[in-house]
Amino acid sequence: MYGESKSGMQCAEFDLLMTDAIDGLLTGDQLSRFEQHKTACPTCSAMFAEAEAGLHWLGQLEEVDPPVNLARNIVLATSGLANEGARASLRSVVNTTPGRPLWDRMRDAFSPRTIWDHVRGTARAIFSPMATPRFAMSAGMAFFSLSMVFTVSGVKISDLRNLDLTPRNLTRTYYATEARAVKYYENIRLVYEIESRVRELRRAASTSSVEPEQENKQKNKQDQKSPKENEQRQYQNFSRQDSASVVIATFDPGESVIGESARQRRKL
Amino acid sequence: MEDAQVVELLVRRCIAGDAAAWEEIVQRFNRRIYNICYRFAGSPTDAEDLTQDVFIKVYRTMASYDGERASFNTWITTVTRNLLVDHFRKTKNDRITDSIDAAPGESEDALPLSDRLEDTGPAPDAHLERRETRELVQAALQKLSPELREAVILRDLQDMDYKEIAQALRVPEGTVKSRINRGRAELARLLQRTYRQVM
Repeated sequence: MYGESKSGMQCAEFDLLMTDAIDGLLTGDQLSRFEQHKTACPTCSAMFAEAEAGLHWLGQLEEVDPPVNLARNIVLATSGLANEGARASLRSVVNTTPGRPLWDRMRDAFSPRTIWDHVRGTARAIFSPMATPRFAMSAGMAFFSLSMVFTVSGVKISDLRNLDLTPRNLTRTYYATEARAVKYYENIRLVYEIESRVRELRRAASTSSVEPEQENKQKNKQDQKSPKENEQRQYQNFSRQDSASVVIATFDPGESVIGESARQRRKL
Repeated sequence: MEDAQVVELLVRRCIAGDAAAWEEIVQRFNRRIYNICYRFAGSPTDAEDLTQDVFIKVYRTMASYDGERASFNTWITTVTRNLLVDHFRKTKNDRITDSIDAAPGESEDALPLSDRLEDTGPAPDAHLERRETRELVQAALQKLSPELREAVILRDLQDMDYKEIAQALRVPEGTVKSRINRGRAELARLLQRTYRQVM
């Protein structure tokens, strides 16, 4: 069983020594104890055989050649990163690496050259995207759009120069604008109120004129209905007369009931 | 001057802004990093992209390299390993890892391994046989868990010593040895199983 001590060696120790044994680094007593354990422990013995076989298999693998342009591509890929900013930060870190006296590190870290490198590196990191054709194209389009908007809306750049941007004027402009907005809102509100009143009056006027008309319409409807009802009543009376004749005819012994009723219908 | 010293000097020059030093570093290490990436990811295109990513990261973080703590070789291996683990996590859902028949690395448009091994036609020549064996081992390597795979790759394919691997993987040396043993054994078991299936 794994973990048992066989021949003065634990399986864990055997596992630890296995790599050295395969590498041929075991000697003397250690080697003999290892061999004894290997003979005594079937689990460790199998493990050793498998590890040796695995190493043999791995020996079949040869080093593969990288793509021809790999190194060149790497240098090209990293050349974009090789700006002064990155170098400046690298340089500053080198200069401030631990192990040097604190005073030297402080002096290097705050030297004008290091600070200038930092500033230049940061500025480059910020503004380098702006130096791309894509950014220039976007900026051009934005300028064109703004100039179009100004032209269409009648705003002239020369007018902007005459703007009074003093705090006093700005405050006055603010209050004037606010007053204009409030006035506009109030006006709109008044208009809406008048509109709603007019609508209510119209609705009231229309409902009063509609009532007599509706009564007349109802009467007309009843008149239209009455001829039909009269017809139905007449038909009912007529059928009553029919049935009476049928009943009378049944008392005539010379004729059938069906014949009499048929005759009556023909007369009609 | 020793190789490690030359590299240290190159790193210093690179940090100071020497573009030629950076190119020299890329020339020296790109093959090794590409091989680690290729053996870990199993795809040449992924390996190429990952190698580029490794060097971009190295370039950006070179200032954080401390030569007293570890060699540049170990440091760049750590960066590579971290990136590979990130890549492994990101692509976990996309991978098809169920079958050993999954696409082998070196020739992606080739037939599945078992189909080729089942071929009853005339015996392939030695070159083809070696190539197929390599593809088979590479496919089995992809089946290992990332912990075992990285340990095995760094030890058995990159010849790094246990101390360096322990530094790169940030685990104790005993754990590294254990992972290497388990990785080798697991690989052998996988290959034996594959052979048993196709024979």
